[in-house]
Amino acid sequence: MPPASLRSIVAGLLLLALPIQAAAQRPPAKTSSIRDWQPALLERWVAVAEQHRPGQIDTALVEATTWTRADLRQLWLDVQMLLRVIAQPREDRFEIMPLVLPPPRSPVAIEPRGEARATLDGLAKRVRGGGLQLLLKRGAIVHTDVATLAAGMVALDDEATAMNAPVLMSVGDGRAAGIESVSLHWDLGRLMAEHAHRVAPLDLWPRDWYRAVLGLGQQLEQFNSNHLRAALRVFPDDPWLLFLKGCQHEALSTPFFQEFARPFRGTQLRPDIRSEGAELGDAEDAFRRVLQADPSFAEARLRLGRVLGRRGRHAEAAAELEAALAATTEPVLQYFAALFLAVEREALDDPDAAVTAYIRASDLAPAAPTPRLALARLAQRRGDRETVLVQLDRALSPGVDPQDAWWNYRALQARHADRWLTEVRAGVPGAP
Amino acid sequence: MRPTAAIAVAGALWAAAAAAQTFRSGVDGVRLDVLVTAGGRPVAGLQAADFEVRDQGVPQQVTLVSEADLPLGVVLTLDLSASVTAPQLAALRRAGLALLDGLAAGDTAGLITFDHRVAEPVPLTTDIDRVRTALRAAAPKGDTALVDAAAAAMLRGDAQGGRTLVVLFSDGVDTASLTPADHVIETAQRVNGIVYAVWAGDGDARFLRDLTRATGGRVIDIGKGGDPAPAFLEILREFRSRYVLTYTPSGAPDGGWHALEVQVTRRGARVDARPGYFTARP
Repeated sequence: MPPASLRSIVAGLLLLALPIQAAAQRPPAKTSSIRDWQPALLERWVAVAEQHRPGQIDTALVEATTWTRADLRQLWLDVQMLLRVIAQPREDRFEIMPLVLPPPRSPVAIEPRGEARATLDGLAKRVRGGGLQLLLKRGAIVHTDVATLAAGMVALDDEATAMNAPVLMSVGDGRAAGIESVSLHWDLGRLMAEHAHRVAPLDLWPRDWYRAVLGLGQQLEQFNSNHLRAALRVFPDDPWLLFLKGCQHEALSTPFFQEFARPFRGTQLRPDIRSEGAELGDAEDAFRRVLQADPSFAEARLRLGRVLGRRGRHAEAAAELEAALAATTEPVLQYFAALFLAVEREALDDPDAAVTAYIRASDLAPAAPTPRLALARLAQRRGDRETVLVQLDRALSPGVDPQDAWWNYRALQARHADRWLTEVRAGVPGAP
Repeated sequence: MRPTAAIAVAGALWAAAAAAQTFRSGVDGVRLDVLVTAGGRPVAGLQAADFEVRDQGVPQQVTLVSEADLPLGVVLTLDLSASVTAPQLAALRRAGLALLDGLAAGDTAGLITFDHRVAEPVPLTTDIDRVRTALRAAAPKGDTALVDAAAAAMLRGDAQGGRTLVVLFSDGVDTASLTPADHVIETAQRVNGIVYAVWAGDGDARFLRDLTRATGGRVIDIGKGGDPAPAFLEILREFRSRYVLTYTPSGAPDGGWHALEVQVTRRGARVDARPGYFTARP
């Protein structure tokens, strides 16, 4: 995969203008009410969820792309009402926190009446029982498919509705390169997955959904803290989700993101990035928890070794990297384990062992310049001019189009994300 | 007669340079590029006797080589990451071309560019037009592998031999190298060649300061979006005004780090030279 030219991070409130404007629009502490609630949108949502074929851009999905942010915010309330009616059929007043940023201090109250209430009850009756979990999964897939397959088709919004949505800030070469609102379809998908888990706690499909969605983001170096927090709230000890958490913190600790965050420090703008040391600490904690749960998770061990090395604990790092190298047969992981091990051996002032590890990395990825440049550097140290020239020429040769997995290390963990999503789609009964 | 003499002297020095790689055990000879300034201006006309060089605290007998006798090898090392804007790129090209125009016959130049990868469109060559052409074709993209690029440039210059100047331009901190900065600082202590950096960023330039200091060069901060051309030309002028001293170490313990002290007899003069060099332990 070529390195992405722009990477992104999703953060709650990134723009100075956002909290100011949002504060003006912030609901009062007293609960507000929606009178004259109508079920038409919820009915359409149920129909779309039932009709959509996962992974297809079909008529149902196209209809979902026409929903504006205002519609999606309404659906956020409507779907939760439906779930409440299914759980407590006699409830007649629904207080639900709306989907806006910053989070409001009080919920919105809805009291459906008359024909609207009857329609709501009818929908609840239809999906109550075994059908509810299926509907939630289907709903999650609808919103996921809009966001992944049809993002370019989604309805345009006016600025006012866009202002209270999460923000995606693009980062290029350590600098802010653009900003846009994040699709609320992701929030709707998350709502469905979370409730699907509540309905059937032993079903791992919601975990797989979170993994796929986090992976899809991380594949593009879009690090979405909202998804991550929600995922770990539901599955706090899941090794895969903890692994992706560790990867996110590790990525945010790199100079690429630290340099991006630097100008914001001490200002009211708040990208969700802590200091390098804090992010590395969080990454280490996450990888250690993964390995406690699953000691055979070689990729987590690899990353733990890398993080320990970056924290200056080179002997510990080398031990973890040796173990990771022994525990994996996947060439790209072997490459990284050898490469990082070489760095640690060099830091431990063992140049011969470093050379051995760099050679192993270079053998695993002959076109990769990174180990060759290091080999040239270490050859210079030995006075081996011939090797310096050979390795330097191979590393810098303009005639070669080099590929180096190192350039995409921050997204390595998500290399199977497309497959994860395919599996999630296939996990919905009735999927093609 | 001078061209013949120059060739003969240069030939002898090339041979000395090849034998004087500072990473070797049992160093045969050490070459030092020394800048002497007073009031910010280079001091000319000094003789070997005006210099006092101590290697591990032991005074050395130095020879002064005329700068005119040594061709330069200039490794132009340019940050072409995505943060370089179109106007900056145009200014960078102009600066590079101006520097190339300032080279003399017999000098060599090469071009190393870096984004997330380090590339060498033109290795050190006397065919300066090739470098000009490559410079005009350069286009920015990707992240900034500044540390790796610095290593590559120093290694290239060192492997080439001769008197090497690395002119390193960057507008941002490293966001893409695997190599830890301190490993490359150590490389700087082991290679021949001087690194000058032109910094057009607004972040932390510590790596560039440490790197250039280790080789006896310096950082010229032109500010964010500044024009690099005056800095490039200043570097070339300054480099040409440096004194080249050689000596065969005597009395200093061999192997490991050799701390150097260079002083001149001229009052009020400031001396800039590398603070030391590494040799392999015997």
